[in-house]
Amino acid sequence: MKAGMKTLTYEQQKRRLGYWMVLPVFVVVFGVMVGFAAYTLILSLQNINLIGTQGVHFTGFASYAAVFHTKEMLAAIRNSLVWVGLSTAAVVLLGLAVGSILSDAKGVSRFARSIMLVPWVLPGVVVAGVWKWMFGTQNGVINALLGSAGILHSGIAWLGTPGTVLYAVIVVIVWRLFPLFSLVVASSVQMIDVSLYEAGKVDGMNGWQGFLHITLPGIQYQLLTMGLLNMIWIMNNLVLVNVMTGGGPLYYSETLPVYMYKLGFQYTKLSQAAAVTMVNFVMLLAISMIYVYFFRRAQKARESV
Amino acid sequence: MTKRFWTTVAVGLLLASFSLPLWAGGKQEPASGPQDQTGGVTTLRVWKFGSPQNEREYMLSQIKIFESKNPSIKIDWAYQNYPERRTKVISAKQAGNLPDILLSDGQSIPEYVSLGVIRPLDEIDASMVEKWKPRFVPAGWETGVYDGHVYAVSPFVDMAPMLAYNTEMFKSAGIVDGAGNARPPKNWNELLSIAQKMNANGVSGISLPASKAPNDLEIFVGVAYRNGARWISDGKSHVNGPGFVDTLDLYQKLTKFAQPGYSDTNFRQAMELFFQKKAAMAITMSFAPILRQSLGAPADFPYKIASFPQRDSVSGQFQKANFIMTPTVANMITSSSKSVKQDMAYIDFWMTPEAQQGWNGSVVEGRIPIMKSNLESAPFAKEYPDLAAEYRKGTLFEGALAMPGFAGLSEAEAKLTDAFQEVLLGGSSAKAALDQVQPQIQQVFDSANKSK
Repeated sequence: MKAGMKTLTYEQQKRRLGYWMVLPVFVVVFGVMVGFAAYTLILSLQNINLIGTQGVHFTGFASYAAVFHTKEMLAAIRNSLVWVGLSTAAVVLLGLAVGSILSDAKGVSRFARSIMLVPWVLPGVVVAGVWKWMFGTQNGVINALLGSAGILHSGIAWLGTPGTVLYAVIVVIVWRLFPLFSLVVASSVQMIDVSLYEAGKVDGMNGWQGFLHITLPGIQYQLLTMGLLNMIWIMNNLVLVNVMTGGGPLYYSETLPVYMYKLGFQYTKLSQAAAVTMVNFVMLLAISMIYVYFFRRAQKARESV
Repeated sequence: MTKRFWTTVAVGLLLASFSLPLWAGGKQEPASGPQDQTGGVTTLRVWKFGSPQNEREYMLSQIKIFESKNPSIKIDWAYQNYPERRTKVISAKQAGNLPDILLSDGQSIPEYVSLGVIRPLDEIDASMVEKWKPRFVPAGWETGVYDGHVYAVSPFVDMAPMLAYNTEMFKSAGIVDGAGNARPPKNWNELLSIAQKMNANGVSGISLPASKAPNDLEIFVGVAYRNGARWISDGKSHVNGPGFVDTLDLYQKLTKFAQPGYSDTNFRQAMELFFQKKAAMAITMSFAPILRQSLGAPADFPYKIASFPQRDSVSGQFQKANFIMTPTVANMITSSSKSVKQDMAYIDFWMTPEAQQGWNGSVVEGRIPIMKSNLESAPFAKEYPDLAAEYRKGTLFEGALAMPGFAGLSEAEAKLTDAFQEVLLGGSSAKAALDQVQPQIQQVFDSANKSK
């Protein structure tokens, strides 16, 4: 053994080997996630516009100031909050309800489960195209059905009316996402120990109480994970809104990803697009943190009882 | 099993994997792009934006002829969505994935030039371009010229604005000329009164394309140019001038007699409603017959297309343009192509009367050819007797301008579309909305063109 060389214990050697094994993954994840985020941040502090830029230089928060001075940005933030808030709430509630039913139903569940995956596996562009046609004012299926049922006398312009357009697109994203949520809920519920329900019944617990005190606490981690994932998917969704409405009419369904896409790929203002991306990122981070905070607080409160 | 056995198996599998492409699809395709010159064959990647099925089929049949005449050139032809053309091209430019040849529209030329996407054809081979020029009518040829250079050449142009009207409905309503034939409205006032009259019994008076699709705005701009409007003149934006304001005001009045959901109806859907007899009139472009073909409406559908009526007295401060026109199959060579000689050979093939004859009305309906041989042909005279007569008189392209294009057009169009929709949805008056958007468009123009 060379002089001065430290002798490592078996545990230390094992730990060091572990670090070396994790290093490649760490480098890739760090490079892909942090690297791109840092690049976007740098881009947002520059003045890059593919048309008309005279040399690239740092301009501080000029891109942020420019986008926040537009009506579109404010509309996009407002719409994004409504879009992500309502859609996530609807996916979670509907997913929870349908998932609970599915976990109980034995005869139809296997068939229902396979059918329910259809909205999830269909490509986003196809879903958007089909629903755009279904929501059509004159030739759409929805207006035709409502008309034949005697509910409507003339077609509603679901995607052409400021008051309905965002909600129409919310219906579509909920339709697309809630089945997967339901399936996760259903399989999570089935993993709960049945003896807990049986013990509760002995103590006079009804179905609702069972759901509240056994089912919900039993699937809370899956709920948290799926809720967060859905929120991120919804917040970052470009395809549905862009294909169905293009953010219109006017800005009534414009969300941050749609605005970002327009700035970057139609107007070629890359720095401004990066600024909107950073705003989207910060909003997503803030919403996620609030979500996690409240969830943990509720969890602690339940544990302290 | 010996080590030798396993080594043999591994090497055998490796060799077999090399032959998989042959099993999967016959011969191996060379990767696209100019660097793919294998065995003396150059593959040219061509992106075509837009076009209905029959036009694409016609073009593909001509490409086969080209390939048989030029065995050293292979065409890798890809069809792309028209409304996404600028986005697609910008992304491809950024990703270093531009094709060799683009078939795009004329008004995108300034933006493509600013982005460094295309190169002037006359700088590649001036003599070849000079050879093509006399074959075309000057007004049509000019649609591919920008900043003194020829960037694109097209077999035809699409013209705006046009009015399609249902002759059967017009006759029933007594809107006829002296000979008892259905006649189009003469001016804006009559257009409004006819739209009001026809707006009954579940039929809309007029089908109004007013979505966010760029074509819808281009049709509106066509109506405005017919009323003496201009986007930009001498570097100054005039979108809040009377030419635009009065046109937007007309559109706003027409919404009362238009289909529900007009702000979500694009040019294609507007014509679909018209061909379903759900509207008596439709604001459109000269390509309406091609939409009839692709929408499957019967060939004897009772309709006619006329130039859009104009205001009693033109209110804009500029000379009225009868039409604005754009070449939508304009051949352009990209800056990333390394096979310009082959690119020019490909375009040269398309610049022949034989390759372009399908656009004289015999194969593809609804395009206005700009090659003289097509305009003078018998099929054109048979398909479009009125247009052929106008061409013979020399008035077909009279007062027609190239569809306006400038660097920053995409953003300027988006801003004007917002003002346009705001007014149609009742959120503002035409004057107030255009006054508000004018400085924004000026800023876009100044910023995009400051290097010039």
